[in-house]
Amino acid sequence: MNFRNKIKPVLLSVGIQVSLHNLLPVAWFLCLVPAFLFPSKLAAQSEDRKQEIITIQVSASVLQSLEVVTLQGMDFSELQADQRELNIDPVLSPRAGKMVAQGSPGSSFQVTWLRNREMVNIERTGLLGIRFDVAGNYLDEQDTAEVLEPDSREYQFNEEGQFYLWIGGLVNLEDATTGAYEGEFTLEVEYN
Amino acid sequence: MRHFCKHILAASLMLVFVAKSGFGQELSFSQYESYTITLDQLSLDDLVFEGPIVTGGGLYEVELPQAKALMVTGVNYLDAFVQIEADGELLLEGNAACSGDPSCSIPFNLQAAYANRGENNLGDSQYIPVVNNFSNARFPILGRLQNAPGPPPPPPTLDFDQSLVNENAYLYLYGTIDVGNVDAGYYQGTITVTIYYEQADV
Repeated sequence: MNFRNKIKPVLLSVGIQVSLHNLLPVAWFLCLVPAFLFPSKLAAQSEDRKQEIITIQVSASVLQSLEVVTLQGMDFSELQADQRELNIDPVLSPRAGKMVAQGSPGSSFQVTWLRNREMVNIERTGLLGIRFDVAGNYLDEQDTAEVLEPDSREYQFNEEGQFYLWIGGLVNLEDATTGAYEGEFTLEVEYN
Repeated sequence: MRHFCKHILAASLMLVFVAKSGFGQELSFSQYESYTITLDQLSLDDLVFEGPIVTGGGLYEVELPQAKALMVTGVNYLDAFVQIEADGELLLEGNAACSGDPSCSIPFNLQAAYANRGENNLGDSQYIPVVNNFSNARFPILGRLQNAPGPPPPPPTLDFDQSLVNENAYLYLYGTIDVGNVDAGYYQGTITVTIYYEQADV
């Protein structure tokens, strides 16, 4: 008796199939549609919740390496023995040295230099004090150049990536001995 | 009777087919179908190597304190799996033709870390090993500190409110670039981060 009760649902199920005999092809089709559609939809929803993807950009702006080229040295020629000082105006004097700094067009940079230096007499004992002055211009025009200060102010390269510098200074000749002198002028250009 | 057998045969085939594609019939204890996990950027900035970066300048670094930070939000007692994959080089203007060209590509070396003490705190961060700009890492969304693991959580029911057990963990992306004698310009690449609960599904 118990065994009969257990198999009863199976027999009932067959009975329904037989009674719906003519509708079975349609029923199969209706069963097929959700069987194809729902699993994929459920899977998509599930994946949406289960994982998340983010794409992050990594970036770097690379500038041209900086270069400073000396176009013309300072002219200390033809100094007189009784001359007490020599002032080379970086804006007005044709004796001024000339340099060009080169970098990435339009980028900003700083210029620093050692203002006070000494030149050494290479023939006999003697030092010569000099205070350097620098003027700069993004145009290659000395007379419109701006006198620069060795501070943290920013300057900009022109569209060709150039910035012109004129080097002048005040040379104290009071204690100068005769002879040839040499020294260095150090100017540093760096991107901000 | 012949028709009946035909339908029984068709029904059998159909049952086999439906059983294979019916996701609702599966029971897997290692999957977290009802839990969500999200990944958000704490800022919209790129991972930027700040200037000035100069042609031929060599190694430049974004260190951990400047890292790009991401926030993972998920169930605090589950583990997050993270897959990180980054381009091996940054390309001039992102131009794919520059790949492998030393004049317009910059090698990029990704590094990563995570913090899972519930706060965006670099002091809690732990290094994620990254090899060849690729990493598969796994960590608890909420670190268990030195405590013994608690009892298994009850399975979620219809009344389950995940917001009550959500916690935030943090991912940090940083690294180095090695700038050779490349053309000046804007270089870029991408990092793809995938976060999920269950490794097998990715």
